[in-house]
Amino acid sequence: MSARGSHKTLLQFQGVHKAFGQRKVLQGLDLEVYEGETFCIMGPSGCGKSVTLRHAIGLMKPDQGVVTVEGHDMSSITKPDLRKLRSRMGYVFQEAALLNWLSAGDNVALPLRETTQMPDLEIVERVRAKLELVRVPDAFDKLPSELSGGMKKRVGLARALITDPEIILYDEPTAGLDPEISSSINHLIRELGERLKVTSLVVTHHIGCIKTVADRVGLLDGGRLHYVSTPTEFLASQEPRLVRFLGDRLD
Amino acid sequence: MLKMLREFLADVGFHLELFAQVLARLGAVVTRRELVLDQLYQAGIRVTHVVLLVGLFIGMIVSLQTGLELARFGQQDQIGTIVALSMCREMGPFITATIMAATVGSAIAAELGTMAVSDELTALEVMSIDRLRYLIVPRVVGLAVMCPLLTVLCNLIGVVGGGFIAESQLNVGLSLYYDSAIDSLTGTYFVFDLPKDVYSGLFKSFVFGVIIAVIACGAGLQATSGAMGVGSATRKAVRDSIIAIIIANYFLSWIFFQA
Ligand SMILES: Nc1ncnc2c1ncn2[C@@H]1O[C@H](COP(=O)(O)OP(=O)(O)O)[C@@H](O)[C@H]1O
Ligand SMILES: [Mg+2]
Repeated sequence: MSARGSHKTLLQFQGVHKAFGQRKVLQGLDLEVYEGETFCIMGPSGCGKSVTLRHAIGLMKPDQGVVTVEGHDMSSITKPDLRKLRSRMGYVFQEAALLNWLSAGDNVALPLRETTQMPDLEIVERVRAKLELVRVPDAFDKLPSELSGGMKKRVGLARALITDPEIILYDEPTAGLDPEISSSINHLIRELGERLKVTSLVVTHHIGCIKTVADRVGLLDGGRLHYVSTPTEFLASQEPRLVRFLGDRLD
Repeated sequence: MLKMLREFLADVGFHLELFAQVLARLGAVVTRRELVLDQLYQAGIRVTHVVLLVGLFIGMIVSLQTGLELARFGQQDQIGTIVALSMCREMGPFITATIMAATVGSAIAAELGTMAVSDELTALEVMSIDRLRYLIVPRVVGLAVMCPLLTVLCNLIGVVGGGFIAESQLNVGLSLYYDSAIDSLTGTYFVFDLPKDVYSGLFKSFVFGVIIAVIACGAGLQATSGAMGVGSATRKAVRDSIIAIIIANYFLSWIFFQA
């Protein structure tokens, strides 16, 4: 599996600390994601998974430490550079975060309509292609309220993919979905990684997810990443903390 | 007490900053025509019937209450003047603004608040879409334009309602009523051929529209997660905008009629 990843680091956290008031969330987080790989972060609810992703796309700045994406220090990046960088990144939100008054097609088209001069005919064509890619071709004219949870996730994924990003951040792509749909989403993520050669950072608390998608995985606990390894090693590990965490999940 | 004052000042500062940012992006009115039109529709068409209904009854109330008093002194012929002036100067702008705050303002706060707590605003940021141009400017312009327009409607229907009462309850003929109403509005101060009583009222309602929109947008953007967050943002928007409207009303009236 790791054959897919070269060893060029695209995304790096070095000693990142982040606190909200008294609540210390990240406490010296180190993380390296290589070009072309899918890195999974596992961890219980509230351990700071979303906070980590928000740092990776510059929505939050570390109190201490450095976050680098494609060589840019996210604390000091200029606005135009951040714009350019973000157009090459996709963020798949936990609850999809589609604008509820726009149809699925218009939601997916939004980044192109708002930030490029592309003619509308071409935009629509691309939107249809992306909806096809995530296997919800019929969603084009539907409002988010008319879509199921799994379909919303797929549309959110299509929106993240519309600018053909090189890095995709997934926030709990399978949370709240039933096992069958979860599994199909996981296979989709895997396929996107392989076909589009994207680099992905996936946060999840589902074992099924890491089994299918991860090249490497680590456990986020106490504000740091532990036991970074391949999924096979990770799941077979006898580390007490990991066994306890995974034991909870297997039930 | 000191803490409350500090929070109040911080809140005022936040909204003033938001207003300044909107002003700096007013060019979006031209580039985002379709969004502005949609907000004009949202702010206008949806509440027109409420404004008409309430305006009619306000005119009737003013006519009845003051008319009965005037009748005791045999002055009921003046009722047209009284209704027209109070509708144009105070009742029309204030009642319309209150209705707008309770309907359009609360809807804006709820809508933006929902977007804030469901990561939709974050999604816009990640996609490098300026939420001020995309969401806020159209809403501020929508209310700033619709508030005076609906005030005109409110004034007109209020005068009509007053006339209905004048004729049926006070035995003042309709032609006398309308003559005195129109006479009263033809003063010596003209701006664009509008009497001061009318344009001061319309200017006030323009300011009220801006106040409602900025407060509602601010409350929505500041909403924090959980359904409670959206609920309290909505309440805060309505409460604060009505307070701000009343205070602004006093100062604007003072500037127009006293200074
Ligand atoms: N913007 C914020 N302000 C204050 N606290 C926050 C904020 N974002 C996250 N937190 C806190 O940080 C902790 C981790 O949150 P999060 O990363 O969302 O957890 P999860 O691992 O479930 O995604 C939580 O305790 C949360 O309350
Ligand atoms: Mg989360």
